[in-house]
Amino acid sequence: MSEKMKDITVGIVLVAVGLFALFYIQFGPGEAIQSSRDANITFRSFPIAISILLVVISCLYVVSSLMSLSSPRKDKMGLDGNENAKVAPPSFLFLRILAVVAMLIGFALLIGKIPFFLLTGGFLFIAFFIFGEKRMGLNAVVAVLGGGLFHGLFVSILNLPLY
Amino acid sequence: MIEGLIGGFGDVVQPWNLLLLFLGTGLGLMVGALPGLSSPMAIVILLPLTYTMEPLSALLTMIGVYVGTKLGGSFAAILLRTPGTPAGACTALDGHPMAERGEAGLALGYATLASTFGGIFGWVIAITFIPVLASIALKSGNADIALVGILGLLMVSSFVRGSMLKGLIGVLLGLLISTIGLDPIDATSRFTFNIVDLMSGIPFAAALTGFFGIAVVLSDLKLIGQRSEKIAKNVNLALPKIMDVLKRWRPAVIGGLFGTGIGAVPGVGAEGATWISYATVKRQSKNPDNFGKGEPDGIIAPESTNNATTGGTMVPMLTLGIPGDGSTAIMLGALVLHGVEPGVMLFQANSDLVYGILAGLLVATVFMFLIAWRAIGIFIFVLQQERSWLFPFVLLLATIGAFATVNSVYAIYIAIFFGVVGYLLESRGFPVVTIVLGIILGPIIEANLRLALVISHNDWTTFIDTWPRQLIVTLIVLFLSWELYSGIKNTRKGKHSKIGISD
Repeated sequence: MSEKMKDITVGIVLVAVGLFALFYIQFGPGEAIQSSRDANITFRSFPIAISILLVVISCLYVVSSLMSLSSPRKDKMGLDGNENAKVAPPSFLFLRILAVVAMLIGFALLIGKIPFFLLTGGFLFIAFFIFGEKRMGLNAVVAVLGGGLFHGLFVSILNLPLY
Repeated sequence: MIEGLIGGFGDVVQPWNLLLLFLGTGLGLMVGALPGLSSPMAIVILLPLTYTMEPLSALLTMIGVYVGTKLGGSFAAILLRTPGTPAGACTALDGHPMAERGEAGLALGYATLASTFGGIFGWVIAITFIPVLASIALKSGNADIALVGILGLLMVSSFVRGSMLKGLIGVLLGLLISTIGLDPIDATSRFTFNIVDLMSGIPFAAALTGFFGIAVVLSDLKLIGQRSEKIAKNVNLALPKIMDVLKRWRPAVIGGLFGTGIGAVPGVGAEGATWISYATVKRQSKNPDNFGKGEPDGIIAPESTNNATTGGTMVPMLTLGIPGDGSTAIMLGALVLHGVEPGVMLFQANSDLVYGILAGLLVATVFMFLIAWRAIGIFIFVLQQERSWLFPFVLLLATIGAFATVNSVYAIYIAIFFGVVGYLLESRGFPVVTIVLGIILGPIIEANLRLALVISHNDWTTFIDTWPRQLIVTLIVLFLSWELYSGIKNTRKGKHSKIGISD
């Protein structure tokens, strides 16, 4: 997908978010207290105003992006808005991103179910591998040390209920 | 003011606070030196460590990081031509050529001295103006607070790096996110979808760790494997001669003025200010052709500007509750987490805290100089390390930090969600800092808007019945019109602003 089509897609998604928020808050559940109704400004008022503005501005953005389809793109917007970054990430980068997100979700699912030291050590070990460190022995040593450090800091010292 | 400041210094020089400030500054120098890591990220991952601290101690740690990253960014800029922070990019223009001709230590010396001068300059301006502005802000009513909040958000979206339309959309998204949960006046749930966890709203710190921790790591994954080579071995910081420093007072002062002035404008940040001051000093120089080839003034101006912004950003943050950049946005969030309400009442209700923060700013600047002067080798060593070792720790700290906000796994999922959303939006040029500012200021704006209407018996003219309010409303209309016009025009042409807030 070209960069301009991605811009248009994001714009359409934002319009959809705004419309959803507008209809949900307008017709969704909930009732205001009497004083709010008397003042004509209730719990719905602020979100409705923001949603309408979001829809309008996002539509402007979509229209502007559509109009820019005919003009050459003057900049290369990279992954972090950096004009000097690569425009299209290689596929292994995308897989790496997916792996990181999956790892974080796995961490959230296992927290409290296995000992924290094992969880953080395992997280670090897998993360080092995902990030390209192939020296398994060194990864394991650093993971164990890191796991111990995190356990000591957050469980022993700060007493967070992470175990 | 003097008594308050003396009291502030008295609080800061307590051994525990001094230690935290020192460690925070050292951490900031390290984080600033590493390309890919940023001040907001470092402050966010410190959040969980500061939950059990007193508010002042927590803020001092963050201020140390904030001040340290300003100079740290120049280390990589001078030695590797890759700035550690966006604001350090300007320093690379003259710092790296100086390093290439064997004067790396001297370039680092100029940068350190200029940063220290700029930090002190910005501090003097801040302590002069903050009490005055705070007393003016105190006379404001609910309508004034709401209008100032709206104006602040519009200014941020106007000056943000990238498209103004995108900045405005970011602000609106943030405002919408801030409405999730129970309405503060009607106590009716909004956008909770019958999920109990959502009734308490979006955990603010979890959203921050998502945007500034997880999203940044996802964005920086492309840097894995790119190891930078040091160009000189055994570099030691060399302070320039006193007479040489004194004759270069003009670029330092110009940098200080730009840094403090522009830093006080929400949204522009240090990055834009450094380029403007560099261009000004070059234009006024007797030898403009020397710029870009290792001219010391080309290091002094941007570095002075960079650290002067620390004083500038404190002005709107401590008087109006409007953050000047991403780092101060997180500091405001930290205040909320510690039960301190930011805004126009902060100075009156917590003046000892405000003076403690200001005193900490000066002490952190002094620590920054001392640490850089004596321990530069540590940072050069850190610069050589692979990011693949650092990022897993950053992710883990961000995730645990999110959990620690409400002691619930729900916060981790929020952080992951906003991390992915933040990464996707940043990749399309939407500055996430505008979303964060919308989340912070949304509840303040809505509550004050509704209270103003209740007090005025639903009379909307209350928002224009004094001249300050009329002025603010006029500015709001002008900013909004300018944003829409420029945003549409530039989006059609594919143009984006290269200066503006980034961290």
